[in-house]
Amino acid sequence: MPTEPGRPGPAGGADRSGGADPAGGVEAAGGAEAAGPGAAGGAGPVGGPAPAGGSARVLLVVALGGGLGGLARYAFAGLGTAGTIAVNVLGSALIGVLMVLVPRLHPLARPFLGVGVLGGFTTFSAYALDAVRLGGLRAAAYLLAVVVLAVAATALGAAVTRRVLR
Amino acid sequence: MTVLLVFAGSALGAVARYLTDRFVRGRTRATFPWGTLAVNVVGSLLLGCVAGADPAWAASVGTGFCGGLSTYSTFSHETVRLLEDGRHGQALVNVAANLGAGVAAAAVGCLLTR
Repeated sequence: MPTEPGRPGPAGGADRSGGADPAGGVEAAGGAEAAGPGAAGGAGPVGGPAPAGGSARVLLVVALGGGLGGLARYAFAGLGTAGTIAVNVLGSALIGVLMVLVPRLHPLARPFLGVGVLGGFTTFSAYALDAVRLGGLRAAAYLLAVVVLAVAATALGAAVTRRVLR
Repeated sequence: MTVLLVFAGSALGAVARYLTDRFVRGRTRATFPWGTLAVNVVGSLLLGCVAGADPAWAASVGTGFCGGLSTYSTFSHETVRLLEDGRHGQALVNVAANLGAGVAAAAVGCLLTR
């Protein structure tokens, strides 16, 4: 089974026995990655956050953050498509801010806030279903407009945060 | 009650997304974000399937699990990361693949359960 350097144990398999993972390893892995965000391919993003290993502690904060993010998204549910646009653009702006801040934060900040809260807050599935319901040219316009807004929001969030920190 | 279903579904979806991404990253050296594409397509298919279901299913599986499993913020972040790294082609393919496959999956889900 291939393992990734800097990560304790094989992915997946280690997750089930994750409870046995020494906490120190998790912190070390998280810290190492936090020190060099954007380093290699493994410097994955927040969804792929793999800062820390698959320990029970990380799974717990991902679950808690995901639940809270989902509830926050649910508050926008009554707005329909406008709500989907709002959570996705807002969440994308915040991920830009967070990823610049992550190296300065606690190792669990990325799994909790990035993977959990923001991952649970934003949604791709509702966006895709919105497009199916709109259909035709309106769907195309909606898909493109949101993706442009979201990517711009992430880039802007990161740029503003870098500037403020400088 | 609905709030609890949404919370539990989202929590489970987020954990499934995290484990999927770790699994994919552990097996490929590619810079392309395959893990996020996978969860977005599966989440869209599943949401299409429960789109017309009764409120409890729609809340727990649709709003909860599918919303927690799929993600826009990570998709957006990964696209920006690819652009910053000068991988413009991959960024474009990432957007096209997520939008194309995600919408197609949602449409298939709706058709399957109509």
